[in-house]
Amino acid sequence: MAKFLIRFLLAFIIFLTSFHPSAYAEKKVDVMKIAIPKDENTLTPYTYVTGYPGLDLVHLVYDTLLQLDEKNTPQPWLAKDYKVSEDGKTYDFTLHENIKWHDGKPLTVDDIKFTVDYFIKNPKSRFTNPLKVIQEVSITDDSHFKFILSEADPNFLIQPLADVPILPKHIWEAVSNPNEATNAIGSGPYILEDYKTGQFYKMKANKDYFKGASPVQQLIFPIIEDPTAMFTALKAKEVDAISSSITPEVVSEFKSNPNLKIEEGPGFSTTLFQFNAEKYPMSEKSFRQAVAYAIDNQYLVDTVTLGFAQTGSPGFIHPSSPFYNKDLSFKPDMNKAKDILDQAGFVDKDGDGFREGANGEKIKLVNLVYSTSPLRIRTAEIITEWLKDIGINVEVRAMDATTVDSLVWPDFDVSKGRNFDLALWSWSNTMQLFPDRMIELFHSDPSIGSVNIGGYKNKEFDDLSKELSQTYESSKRTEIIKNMQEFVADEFPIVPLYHDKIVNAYTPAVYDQFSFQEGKGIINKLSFVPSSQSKTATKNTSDDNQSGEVKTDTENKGSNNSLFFLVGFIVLLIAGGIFLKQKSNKNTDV
Amino acid sequence: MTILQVENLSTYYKTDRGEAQAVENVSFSMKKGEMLGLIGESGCGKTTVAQSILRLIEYPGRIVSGKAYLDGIDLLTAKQDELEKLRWKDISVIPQSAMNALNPIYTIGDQIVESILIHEDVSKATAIKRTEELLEMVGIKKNRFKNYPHEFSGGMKQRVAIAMALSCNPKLIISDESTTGLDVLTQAQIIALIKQLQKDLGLSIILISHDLPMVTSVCDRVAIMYAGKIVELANTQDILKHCSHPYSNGLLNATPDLSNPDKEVVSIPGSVPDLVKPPTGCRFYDRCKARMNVCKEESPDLKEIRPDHFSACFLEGGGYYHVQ
Amino acid sequence: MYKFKFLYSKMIQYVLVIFLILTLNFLLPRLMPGSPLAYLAGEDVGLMTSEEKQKILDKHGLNDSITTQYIDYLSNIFTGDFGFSYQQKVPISDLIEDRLPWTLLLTGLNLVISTILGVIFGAMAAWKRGTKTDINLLTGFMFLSAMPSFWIGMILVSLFASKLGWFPVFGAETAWADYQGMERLLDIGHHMILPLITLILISVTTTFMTMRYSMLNVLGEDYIQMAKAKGVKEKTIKYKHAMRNALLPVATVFMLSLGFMLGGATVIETVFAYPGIGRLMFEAVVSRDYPLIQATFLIITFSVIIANFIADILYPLLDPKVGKENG
Repeated sequence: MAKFLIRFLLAFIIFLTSFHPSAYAEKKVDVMKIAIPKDENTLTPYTYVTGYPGLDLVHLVYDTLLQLDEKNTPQPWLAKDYKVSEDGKTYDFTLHENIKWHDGKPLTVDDIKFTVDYFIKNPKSRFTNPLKVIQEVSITDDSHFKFILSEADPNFLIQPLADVPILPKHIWEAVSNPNEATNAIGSGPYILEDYKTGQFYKMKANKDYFKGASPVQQLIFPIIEDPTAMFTALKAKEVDAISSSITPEVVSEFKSNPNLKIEEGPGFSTTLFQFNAEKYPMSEKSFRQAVAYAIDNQYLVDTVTLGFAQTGSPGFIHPSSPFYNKDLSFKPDMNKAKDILDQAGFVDKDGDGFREGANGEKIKLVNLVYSTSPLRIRTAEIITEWLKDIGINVEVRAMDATTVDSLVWPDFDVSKGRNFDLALWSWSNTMQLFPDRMIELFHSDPSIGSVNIGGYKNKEFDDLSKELSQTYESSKRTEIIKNMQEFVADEFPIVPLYHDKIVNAYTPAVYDQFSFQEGKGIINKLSFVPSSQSKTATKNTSDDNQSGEVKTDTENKGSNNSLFFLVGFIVLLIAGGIFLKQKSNKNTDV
Repeated sequence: MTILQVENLSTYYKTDRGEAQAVENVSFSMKKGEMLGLIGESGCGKTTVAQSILRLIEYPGRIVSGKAYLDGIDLLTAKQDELEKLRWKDISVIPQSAMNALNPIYTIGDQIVESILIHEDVSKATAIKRTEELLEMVGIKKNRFKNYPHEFSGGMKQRVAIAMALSCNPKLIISDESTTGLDVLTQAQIIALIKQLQKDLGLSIILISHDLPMVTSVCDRVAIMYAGKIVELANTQDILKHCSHPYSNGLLNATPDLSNPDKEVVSIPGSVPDLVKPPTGCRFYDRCKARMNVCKEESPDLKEIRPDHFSACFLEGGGYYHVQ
Repeated sequence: MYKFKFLYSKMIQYVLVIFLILTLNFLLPRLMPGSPLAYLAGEDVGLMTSEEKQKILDKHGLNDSITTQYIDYLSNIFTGDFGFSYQQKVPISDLIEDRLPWTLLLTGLNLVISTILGVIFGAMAAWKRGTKTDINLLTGFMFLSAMPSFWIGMILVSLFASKLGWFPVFGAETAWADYQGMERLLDIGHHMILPLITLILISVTTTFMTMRYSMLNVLGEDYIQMAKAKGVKEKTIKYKHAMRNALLPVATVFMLSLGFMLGGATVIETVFAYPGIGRLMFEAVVSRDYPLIQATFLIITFSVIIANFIADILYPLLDPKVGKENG
């Protein structure tokens, strides 16, 4: 019996090796596979799921009037040209001619007007809200139209102009339920060919694209939910690029892979330490300041993110933003933290090693964090240790995202209150898109401060907010924004920690004309419209991996060492089996 | 004519404390058509003797030495495939508890048919017919062919076992405590059936039991075992009238007598020796009323004290006569 | 007539159990903290006004009283309307139709193969009890069972897929390549090998242990010795007499496992990005996708009940002693 099994196993192993991938003739001509982590539903502007990469896939299929370039500056796109009036209320557009929808019909000014009306009538908050400021859309002729605003909006160029996808009127006028829309016909550089839920998207290059067809004939987006599987797929060359950023601990492995190229750049998501400002002692400025002084951002960046992050500014705004207040200086100081607490009356009276409140009440706080991110959990733990060092009794609690959300931001509605002490939180890059998002972060009125999840209230800040929203002149705006940062760096309604860098990896042998968009990475529209890429855009490629000598040898599958190991292992197995059989023969009773 | 000759059979069992000498130097012979009773108390080694002859001893037991000639062929050294051929065809077993000796997931008919088909070159139809005949012979209606073991009572199962043992017309049948566990009436029935079959078919049977009265009522010859050794071997009449070995006498005295209810029942004081470290002398030494010094040092062999009557004792004449 | 009464009472039993499970199925997800709002509303949930959010909740009936929701839930089950997934916004029946077959393929093959392997090796170990074969098998399988499932999967992927490139890293097939017929079958097989091997390595130990123990028990039975005494060949004793008896507990384990096939491969589906229903369930729970949770749990419930039912019917056929209680 054993003999038979060994022979069978051997035959089976040999049989398995016949399944070599080169046995299948895959069509390799001009196809690129980019893995994405989530199913993005049907790619219409109403039904996509995530801001990244979902919305970017939508932007491959649809076009916007303007387009953000690598530095996130709006450039003309569908609009060939535009002019803004002195008072900032009138926008004059000249539309490109001969733009066609994927089904061949022409894109006209009627489509533009229709899009604005449709989004207003069928709200999709992200697109609808910025459009609400448009009072009137007036069509001059076939190529010219105007947007007349009810008031000046400094962010108008970015949102909605460089954000709202233009819808084909001849299709959407018949769609009464946009949330179940399936027709993704747009005007963009790619046409959606096929979509299998949970599996993949297939797009083919739009040959008639007005800015020139993309050099990549076909894009396939396999959906791989598990990050490790995604990395392995890239390493095994089963996909040519992945939309997710590489996590710090595997970067060096990817950098030393000769088949891959790494591009790094600034990311604009903000990881921060959030206070519940309605609850004692987080309601006290002294407490929050002391906590800020106990946190060493640089240490977090070096230790947790292994250097793959930008240290946060105490004023919240990202250091590479044009509005960044570089005069803010802040150095962590444990002793100063302790002093502040002492002077504010937070003293350890009962000798248990932890401070009590000013009225002697015991302080025991819980620090919430999503259980899904090991890096964030580590950050939360380190901060908790520092807080314990300055005498504050804190405990980390990692829970699933939905539960944490329900405690920190119940119903995603700040007017519904909150049920937490401290949280390790993060905002996506859109929060850094315009500086006046800060108003939404800290304004005391829930309808204005829609993401003020800490429930922070301060009249001085509210006044600054009002001033900003009423100021249109850019230098004056910058001034106010800098004041706001000063305010945040003193009051600390939150403690900004760091901004994760974006590290993208891809196989340059397949395609090497990606353009890295700051805050986003290489999976963006411009990567596939090379004619529109600015030649002076800075590319931060890793030092170890200069482009050029890239092995296109697809037979290069791992080192020989592992092969020897495997063969040796099998030989051992067989030898062991034979040995066993002989021994066992001696043991059976006659 | 001798059908079975056992010479110097020794079988040991491995235990935690060492190897128990369960059967030590057992020798006897059997004539064709004879019913030999093998009697002794629990643990004396009688079942082990039977299993050894059939070479069914498995780890932790092992056959240390000996020969068992069945019609000239030594069962203990025959090759495996030859042994498998001999089993059931030449020597079969009526097992101790048919309760468990029948495979619960096959019909009784199938199990008997199986034993026939292994050894006889006949068609399945013939085997089935023979099975039905056998069942009738043991008193089971042949329409019960397709029933499963659990559908029979204990006694019926025993009959099935007997039918199965007869299925290949064996030269020798070993009936290993075949009536143990049955009620008295059924016991009597089964024993009567076995005796009847022996007469009708001229079978040679070894009847293993601890029930002395039953054995003496049906057997031609009796071998009495104690602590792994045969202590007395004679035909039934001689055992009853001229019982020699002290142990045999003790057994007889310990047996109640229906015809003499007032007879005193005397048990043998003491207990069986430790077979892992058996005494160098006679194994019955500790409990023997007639022991002598020589008994402690040497172990007595079976010697013929009267024609065809053997006893393993140093006493003059092989022991003392049983006083009735 | 007797039999009818018996069947009838069994049916009542089943119905009660199903009803209880349906109710739990409804309550448990809703007892979890948090709501599916984020998934219903999409990524810009933070930008919405209170009214907009309430409108979404109203639309899905999440603002109704719990009784109303319960009644809706029950009536939907009877009409077979599973509704739409909150997260994926597609009909749930489509989702299930797409993903269920993959899990069944994987776990079904695993159940069959690991049972066969477990039976063969278990019988071998028991037959050769105490010898090196037995000890090595025992040690080997115990070692195997100590390893976490995802670890085995990851090692296999790392070595055979990533480093050596013999197998694909992810997916059930190269979906976008649009293979047909034989090509497609080979492609699916190619993708299935690593996850299947992982699953087998995880599951085989239980069957092995059960079979070995059962076989040892059987080998100690008198009827086995009887068979030997009858002169039955060793091979026949091993396979016909011993194994068939020893298989009874293994068959029980097999039939119970049938019911849990659907949920059991979640970890493997994650590691290998296999689009099965286990992973779907997990996602559903994380995102509080009530209709999807309900639908998938319901399917598992029914498969367990059906498996039990099949076991009830099949077992008497294997073991003549069982099932005659009513006769």
